Amino acid sequence: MSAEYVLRTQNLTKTFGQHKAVDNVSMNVRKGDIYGLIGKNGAGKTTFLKMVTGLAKPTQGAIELFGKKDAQSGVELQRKRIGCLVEEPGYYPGMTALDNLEIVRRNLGIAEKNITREMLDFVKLSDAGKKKVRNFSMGMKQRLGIAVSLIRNPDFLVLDEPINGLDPSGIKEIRDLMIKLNRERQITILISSHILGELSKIATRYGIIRDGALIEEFDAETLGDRCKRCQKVVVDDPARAAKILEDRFGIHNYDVPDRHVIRIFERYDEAENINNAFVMGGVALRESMLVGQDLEGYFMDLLGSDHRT
Amino acid sequence: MNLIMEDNAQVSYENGGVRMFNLLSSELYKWRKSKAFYICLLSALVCIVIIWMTFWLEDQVERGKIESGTMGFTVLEPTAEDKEATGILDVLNIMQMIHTFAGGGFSTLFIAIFVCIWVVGEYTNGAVKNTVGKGISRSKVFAAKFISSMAASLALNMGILMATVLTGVAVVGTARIGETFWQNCLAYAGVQLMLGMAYASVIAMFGEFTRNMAAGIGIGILLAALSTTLADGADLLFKIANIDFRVSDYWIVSVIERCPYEGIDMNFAGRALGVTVLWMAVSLFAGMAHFCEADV
Repeated sequence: MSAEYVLRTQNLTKTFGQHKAVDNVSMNVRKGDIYGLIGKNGAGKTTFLKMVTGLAKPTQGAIELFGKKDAQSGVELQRKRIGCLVEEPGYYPGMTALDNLEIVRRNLGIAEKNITREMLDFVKLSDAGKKKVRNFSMGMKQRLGIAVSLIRNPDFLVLDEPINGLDPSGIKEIRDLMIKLNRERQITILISSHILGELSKIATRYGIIRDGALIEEFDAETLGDRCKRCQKVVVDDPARAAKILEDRFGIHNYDVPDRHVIRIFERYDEAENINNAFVMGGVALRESMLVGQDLEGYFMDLLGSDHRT
Repeated sequence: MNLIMEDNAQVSYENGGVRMFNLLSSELYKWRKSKAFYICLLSALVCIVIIWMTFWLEDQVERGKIESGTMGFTVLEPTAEDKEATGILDVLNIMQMIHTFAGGGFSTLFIAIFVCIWVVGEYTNGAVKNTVGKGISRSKVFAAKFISSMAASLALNMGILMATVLTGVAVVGTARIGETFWQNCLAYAGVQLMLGMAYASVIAMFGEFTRNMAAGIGIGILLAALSTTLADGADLLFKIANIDFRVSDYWIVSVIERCPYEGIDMNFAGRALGVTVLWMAVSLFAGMAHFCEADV
């Protein structure tokens, strides 16, 4: 049911000239999710988030927010329920953090004047005093950006690389804040990041975007299953190997992440028999090993082996 | 901490949207805090005072009260042969000076620089995302910026006019002020303030189009310095083609420049009003249309 979804996109596309920055993305963010959007630089994450927050117009496709899809049903009004921090935080560098929040408070017509100081307390910037924002550290600027995005008590928070440039303690602070907002205030969060290890500590659902296309969506449990121990074999003909697995052993729980790699997620104790069957079946077996894959490795596999860093 | 997360944040809505008043209040707050405005105003005032003081020094040298060459100040072409009797202030018309500052490229230059900083700055520092990303109507966001640009240019122009008049009267003296001076001065100031707001609206539109500080200021300076020449050139082309139309009659900077500083008649005032409304409307709708469709 659409009411359970905070965000749904259908074939969302954005082109710049001939280049498709976002290509037919159909994404589903459920209420209560911390949705991690993963993709390498230039994959289309920021452009996608800009379209969701109304900062950019889609070339085609539809956005459904809180169950409202088109202009007539008030999708624009639903954007008022979104807090966003896309690209770098926007601020007036010659003003203090308090001045910056005061401008946002006035823009939004929030009568409660104290809200600006409370926000500063919340993101631990109350000590910044009269320091101009241009003199803030990266972490302080990010926290100010988050304060701006939270000022109207949003139901849905969209954060684009919020931990970029932060030191480990800054990353932990932002991570703790995300978890707190999600658990205590039931704020649904859509967050993009390069730092996959950090993202995997908080995300409950993932979307993998590559060359503008959303190639996969899965939840944290699925990710855990996929990263479990497996037998990884390198063969010349994965199709023939797959047929042997299915016909001879009845194994269906495997995947082919690369042109020559098969990962088998069951019956590790029969690894020797499986290897023999491959050889007897005319499959050239180049490598076979039992591995336990880490999250980063799994994401990198999904993003494409040619994109490994 | 619960703090901001309390649901006591009262948001004023009008038909589900943020009120224009809120956006204008925010613009006013930014204006108050904007160093760019005070720096532009102060720079303009300092220039005016320096120019008037230069005339005063020249006058003093011409009258022989200060020896030529004092502090490196030398008058190369004296105003009159009889230096004892005549100084430049005897022949200088204050209204002409007011026109030089308010009707020449001086005020338009300062307005162009400030409005560019005011409008384009929202994009360069990314703060515009904070309003657009909150679902506030883009037309209202642009309209608020547009109105505040015009209000700021009004204040800037008013400061330039007042400084020119007050410094001029102080330097030249009240004895040389004619009976119609204040009447002419007020009429001229009224028309120029009105035209200045329309000029600011044009700069705000170009600022929105370019969203680039260097490009915006460059276009602003181009409009202030060269656009009247281009308009005159267009007039000439129309004349050669036997078409009875003068671009310069409708181009805002040409009208600013041609504003008579003595005895403004109703005909000119009416045309100035028409040109003001025309350019404000064109700039508002073109800027708004662009902002509503453009990616931020």
